[in-house]
This record gives sequence, C-alpha cells and structure tokens, in this order.
Amino acid sequence: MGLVGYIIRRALYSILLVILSVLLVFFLTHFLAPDPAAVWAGPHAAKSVVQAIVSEYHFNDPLYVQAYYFVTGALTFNFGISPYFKQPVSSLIATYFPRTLELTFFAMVISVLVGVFTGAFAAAHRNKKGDYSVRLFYLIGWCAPPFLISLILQLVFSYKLNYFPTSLLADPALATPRFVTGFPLIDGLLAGDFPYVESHLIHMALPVIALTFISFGLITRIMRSSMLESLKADYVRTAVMKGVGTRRAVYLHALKNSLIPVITVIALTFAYLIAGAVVVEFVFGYEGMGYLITTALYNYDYPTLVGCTMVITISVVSINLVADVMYALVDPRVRLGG
Amino acid sequence: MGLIIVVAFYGWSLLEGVLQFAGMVLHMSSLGWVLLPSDPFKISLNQALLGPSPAHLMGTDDLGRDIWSRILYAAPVDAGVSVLVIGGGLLVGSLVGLPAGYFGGLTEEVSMRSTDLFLAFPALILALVIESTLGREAVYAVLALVVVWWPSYARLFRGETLRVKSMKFIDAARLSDLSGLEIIRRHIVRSTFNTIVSYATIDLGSSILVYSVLSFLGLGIPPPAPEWGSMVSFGLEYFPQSWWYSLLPGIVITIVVIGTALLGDGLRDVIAGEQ
Amino acid sequence: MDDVIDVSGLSVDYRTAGVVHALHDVSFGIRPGEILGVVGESGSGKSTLALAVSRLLTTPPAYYIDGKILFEETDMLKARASEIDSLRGTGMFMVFQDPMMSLNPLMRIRDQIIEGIAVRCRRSGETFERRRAEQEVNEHLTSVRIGDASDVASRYPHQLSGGQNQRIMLAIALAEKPRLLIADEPTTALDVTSQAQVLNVLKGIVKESKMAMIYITHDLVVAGSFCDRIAVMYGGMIQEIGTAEQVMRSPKHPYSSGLITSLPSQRKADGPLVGISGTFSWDEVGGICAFAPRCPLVHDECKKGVPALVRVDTRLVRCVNYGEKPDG
Repeated sequence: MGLVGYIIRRALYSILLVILSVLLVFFLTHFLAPDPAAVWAGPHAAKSVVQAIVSEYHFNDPLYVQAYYFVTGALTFNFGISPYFKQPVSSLIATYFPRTLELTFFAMVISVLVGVFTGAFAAAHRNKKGDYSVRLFYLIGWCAPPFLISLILQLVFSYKLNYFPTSLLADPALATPRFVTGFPLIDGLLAGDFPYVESHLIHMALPVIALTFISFGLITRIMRSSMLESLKADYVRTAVMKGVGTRRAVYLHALKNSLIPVITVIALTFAYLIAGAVVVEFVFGYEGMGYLITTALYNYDYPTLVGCTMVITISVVSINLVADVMYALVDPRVRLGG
Repeated sequence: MGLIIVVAFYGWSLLEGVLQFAGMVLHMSSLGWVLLPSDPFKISLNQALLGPSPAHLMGTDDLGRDIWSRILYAAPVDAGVSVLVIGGGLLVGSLVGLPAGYFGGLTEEVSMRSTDLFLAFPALILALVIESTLGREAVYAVLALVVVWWPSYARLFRGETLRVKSMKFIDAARLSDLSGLEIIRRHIVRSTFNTIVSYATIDLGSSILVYSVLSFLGLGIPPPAPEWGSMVSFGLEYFPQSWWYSLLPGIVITIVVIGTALLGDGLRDVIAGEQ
Repeated sequence: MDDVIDVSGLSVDYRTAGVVHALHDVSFGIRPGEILGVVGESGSGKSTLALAVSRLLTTPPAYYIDGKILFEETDMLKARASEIDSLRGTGMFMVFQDPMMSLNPLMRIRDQIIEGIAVRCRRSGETFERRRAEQEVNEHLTSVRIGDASDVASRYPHQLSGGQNQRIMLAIALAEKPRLLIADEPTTALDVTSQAQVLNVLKGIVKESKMAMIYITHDLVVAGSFCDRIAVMYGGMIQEIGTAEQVMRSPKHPYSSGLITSLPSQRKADGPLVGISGTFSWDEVGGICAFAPRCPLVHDECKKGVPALVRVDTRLVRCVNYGEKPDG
C-alpha cells in the first residue's frame, strides 16, 4: 500500500466525512425544526424578512435542491448572513476563530508536554504516592466543569492577587494591529507592535491555563498506561541485558515507544479543547469563537451557530487526519508495512 | 470512596425526586422540600447575598434563597438527566452496535461509518446545534445528549460482540441450533455487560458535566426552578464578591462527577480482577 | 583455569496463586571456552535457569530461595544493582527465545547493533567511531550468515523473519564480545543448513575468544555435537551432568536414556518410535524424585524424597538407583 497510498486514502475519507457531516447538520437543521425559515431568520424577524429568507435559501424547493445549496454553501464557506450581527457569517468566523485557535494551540502544546511528563512520572511511581497525586490532579481537571476552573482561576489570580487582567484580548487602550492573518499574535508580531503582543499574551495566559487543566488528563492517562506497557516489553529487557543502563533503556526505548499512542489522543484533545473554549472564553470575556457561539446562542442567531459548527467540525476532522498521518509517519510498522 | 458519593447522590436524588413528583401529582408542592433545610423558592430580599453561615450552609442568592436547599432540590434533575442520557445511549448504541458486530459485512461498515460521523463533532457543539433547532428545553437537551452519546456505545457493543464472537462457546451455541438473535441475547449481552458497566458509570458523570454546561448556557430548565449549571451562570453577575453563588454549585458538580469517575475506575479494576 | 561462572545449589521459587519450585539445587561450573548444553523438554526450567543466572527474573513473582551464583569474582545474588549493570552485555549476554519481541520495533537493525558496540567501546576504552561501527555491523551480520548485510541493517525488525531476528541477536552478541553467552534456543527458527552455519560460527568464536557458553535447547542431537558438556534438566532440577560424549553414548539417568532412545536415529530402520510415557506437570514436583511418575525404573525409594546429585564415574547423576538413599 505504501505511505502515499495510506495518506490519500485517509484524506479522501476525511473529505467524505466532512461532506457527510455537513449533510448531517443540514438534516438536523432542516428536518427537526417545524419551520426552518423562521428559525433561520431569527425570532425577531418580520414576516417579510422570513419570506426573503425562504426564497434566498430555497426553503421551498425540494429537499435535494436545498441540500445541494447547503452543502456547496458550506464548502465554499458561505454560511449566510447573521441576523444579529448583520454581517456574513463567514467574515465573523474569520475574525473570531483564529483567536480561539491561538488558545487551543498553546493549550494543546502545554497539555501534551505536561501530560507526557506526568504520565511518565506516574508510570515510574506506579501505585505509590507520586502516582496517586498525579491521578488526583488530573481527576480534578477532568471532572470539574470548565466554568468552575475558569472562575477559580479568575478569583485567585485576577481579583485577589491582581496578576492577570480579567477580560478581552488585550488592553482595550491599545489599538488592534492591522488585520493580516487574523491571528492577533502573528499580526502583532508582523506589525512590530510589541506592547500589543505582550498584552495579548498576558490576556491569553489564564484561559490557556484553564484549558490546559481540563484537558491534560487525557494525555496523562494514556501516557501512563502506554509507559507501563512499554516497560514490560521484551525489547526493554533486551536493552537492559545489552548493558545500556536502566536510564537509557527507560528514556530512550520505553519512552519513545510510549509516545505513539499519545498521537492518537491528540485529535481527541483538540475536540475537547474546542468545546471547553466555548465556556472558558465566555467566563474570561475573551473574544474568540466561544464568544461568538454564546452570543449567537443568546440572540437566537441560528446561521452563525450553524456556521460555527461546520467550521469546528471541519477543523476536528482535519486534525484527526493530521494525527493519523503523523502516526503513520512515526511508526515504521505502519509506514513500511510487513 | 466513589461508591459513597454516587450512592449518596443518586439515593438522595431518587428520594427527593419521588417527593417532588408526588408533590406535583398531589398538588402539594411543599412536599418537595420537606426534607430540605429551607424552602428553595422562598424569596426574602433582605437576606440576599449572604455568605455561608450555619443558617445557610452555602449562603444565599440574589433573591435571598438558600443555596444549599436549592442545590439539594435540583439534584434529581442532574441525576435524572444522566440516567436518561446514558440509558438512551446504551439502548440506541446496542441496537446499532450488536448487529454490527454479529452480522458484520455491510451492516458493520455502515454502522461504524455513521459512528465516525457523529463522533467527528465535539459533544457540546453537537448538543448546542440540536437543542437550538428543537427548542431550548430540558427535554431536548436530553435528546441532544443521547444523540451525542450513542456512537461510543455502539462501538463498544460492536467491539465486545466481535470479541465474544471469536470465543469458543458461541460456536457451541450455534451448533446447538440457536438462532442468531438468541445467541446475541443470551451470550453476548451477558458478557458485554461487564465492560459496559464501568464505562457507563464514568459516563454518568460526564453527561452531568456536559449537561451542566448546557444548563449554564441557558439550555436547561428555565428559572425559577433551580439547576446546578444555571445557578452558576446567575451567580456570575455577583462574582467575585458573592463568590459562593457561582462557585459552590460548581464544586458540588465536581464532587459528584469525581464520585462517578472513582466508582467507574474501581469497578473496572474489580472486573479486570475477575477475568 | 578458573570457572567463568560457578553456580551452586541454586533454588528459585515462583509464587503466584501457589508455589512452584522452578529451580531446585542447580549446580554447575563453566570454564572459559567451554560450551555447556542444557537440555530438557518445555517446562523443565531451562529458560528460568538462564534468566536466574543473569538476574533478569522479576521479583515478584520469582524469588531466590537458596544457592550462590559466582560470575568471575562477583557474587550475583549479593552484588548491588550498579555492579550487575556493569556486567551486562560485555560480561554476560543472553539471547532470548522469542526473537520478534526482543528487538525494538522503532529502531533500525543497524542502530540496535551499534548500541551494543557503543557499550563495548565504553567499557573497554576503545574509541567509538560511527563509520567504523557501521562497517562492523555489516561484518557481524555476515558472520551470522545474513545475506545482503547493509540492506538488512537499514531495516526494521518487523520487516525480517523470526530466524533473521534471532541471528541479529547473535550478531549483537558478537559485537559485545561477552565472557559468558547464554543462548536460549537460538537456532530453533532456522533451517538445518543455516543452523549448522550459525553453530559453526559460534563454535569458532567461543574457542577463539575463550567465551564460556550456555546453550539451551530441547534438541539433544545438536547438543550432542555442539556442546562440550551436557546438563539434562527435568522438573527444575539437573538430573544428569557430564561430558557430551558420556551423556549421549551412555546415559545413566532413566530420563536421559529415555531421551536418547527416543531419538529417531537410534531406532532400527522400520522399528517403532519410542517415547517417554506420560507428560510433565508441575503439580507432581516437590518432595519426591521429579521423574518418578514417568520413570520405567521407579520404586518406592524414589518417592521418599528428592535424590541428591551423586558422582558416578566422572559425572553427576540424580537418581536413587546410583547413589545412597535420598534424604527424606
């Protein structure tokens, strides 16, 4: 089959999945609601607006025509106009989504680092105090609702200790840098606007910590069990027998082999982080996708909600694909076949 | 340890839930709070936003209502939702997963691809969309969550079925002329029960988590009925001065979820020991 | 010449649900350049012996109950972990039975052999040089009769057969030049020709570098031709130990003679194949002669206790029929 064949196969399947998920959303949004046009237009729309919506979005046409328009719309990132924001949904997403991606990126990187380290630590101290304290720690992170963690962090750091500011992307007094990529960090760096970058980083700190705390447990868990498996493996015994020393045997042989299952969890972590971001951003007042979704929710802005869902799903499927490809690259048993 | 928490939670919820239901049927709504320290609906504005004290274990909210009573009163909601969601998820999951594993072929392929499809959506997002479409009531929240949860159970059931299928006694049963469904019913269900139990326990907690976020976002039971997640969001206005309003319900949620997680883990260890 | 390794009275128990006396009163010594064959059926304790001697057993479930293992000057049972670590690889090297899992699936063959070379260089003070090491890898692979050495060297274990993996382990042994090599069924996965070639190579190296070797196998024929001395194991105990010629030509222990007679070469052209009746079970071991349940020469004395190893001519035999009464 070969590596290239595998990648192509997975990519095709991902595309299929995206299309199917768009269809599913279409099905959910058009079948389940008794009057889709009204839902789409928003609760405050006048009758005339609803009529306009009906013709614009082809709500009176047969189902497969509707589906066609919906799917092609979605794939070209045309999600309609937001009744609340009075803007095309796609431009809203283009503004807000990158900010969330920044948060999730940092949170993922830190989660992986923390997770790998704590997982290996827990495996090494199996069933002793070190193991139990790690497990307790991630249990709390896993079980506490995201809003609780965010609130506690806010309480402790922002209000009581006054270290970190409590809301928004950056100090509101600072002007936003020129819109190049939509990623505030990158735009700020490109513009050479270091006060902005610094302020932005500070404002990101708490949300990232909150997100990391809720998701690192996933990685710790799998790292720990993976390590325990590897440590028992024959090739570790061989390495010890060869005289390489226990430390090298563990860190090189066991650890490296343990990292492979972690890759499979990374995509899962991303999905979990996005969901958590909705709440975390709301609590911290960070204006990203979460903010967009919650605002859309409160204001019955249906098109925005649907658009956000599509974009998020596409991202999750893409990350899944990347993770699968990475897995194939790293594991020679998959890469080269028998 | 987890057992204690879970039993306390569900036991209490059952008791309280029965009382509330009876109260509703008999038009004696005060039946619902006969066991509580205070009336969860009584408004006394001069007692508003008091911190935790012996009189009010968790303080009062902006309308002077005792928070601890409201938390206790709202417990059956989360308990009920979790049971319904996981039960529904198991039901649908088994209907999809068992045949998929047993019959294989096209059935299996279609089922597994559809679970892939549903699992591509982060849980919260999918639930949000579904509920926004159907209507913002607790009933739809439960429905939405069932849609979110069934795919993982379908996979579990299929995996278990495959595992059991390869074991010898299935062949023996087949030889003794039992029909396909019979075999599924007798052997496979019994053997998958063990694995499912520990997952389901942990999932009870996870569903409470997701539901509390939904409720936090206003997609649960509308006020004045208390509900853990929505209590947190109402408390945000008074945060951080009246921190108990938002934090304490959140902590209660955490404890319950931890309880289920510990219990589920413990069950898994016990089952692994048996096998 | 002093023994490279001297084991006396070694006993190891496995404690899981019950207690299994995996090894009991095992004693032998090996001189440099000498090959000791350990022969027995599966479950006889041969592999446990190998792991016990190199201290690779995990406790629990294995426990050293009694005895002494002296490797050169080091008391293996009393030494600290760091001392034992420094003996591994270049002092004592073991080739395990299952080749497929013994190599790291994520590392290329070349790197795994180079790892061994690096250990050797570190210990002997040689300078390690990557280019020279890679050449050495090819040499060793060729020595164990792996064709197309440089191609194989850049592959991963799962791309090669079990037999090749087994020989790669031997190649690593060649790279580390241990003073004691323990090989657990190293050639079972090989066809007869390759087996003969590999054994030739091994024998050459053993004799030339005065390596001591323990060769574990169930194949008595190979043991007879390859080894200098043979120890026959049954039920976790050495039942007979002597020179290869002695054991093969005139076995004294009933189990040994049973093994010899059951060799296909021993029977007449169209006579029946003779086996040893019954099968081995650990439940029957303990307090009596381990072979008693299946022995054609069994009598009441055999059930009174475990027979001691006694000297018969120039070898040792553990059988009531030869020695004084067993200790009850």
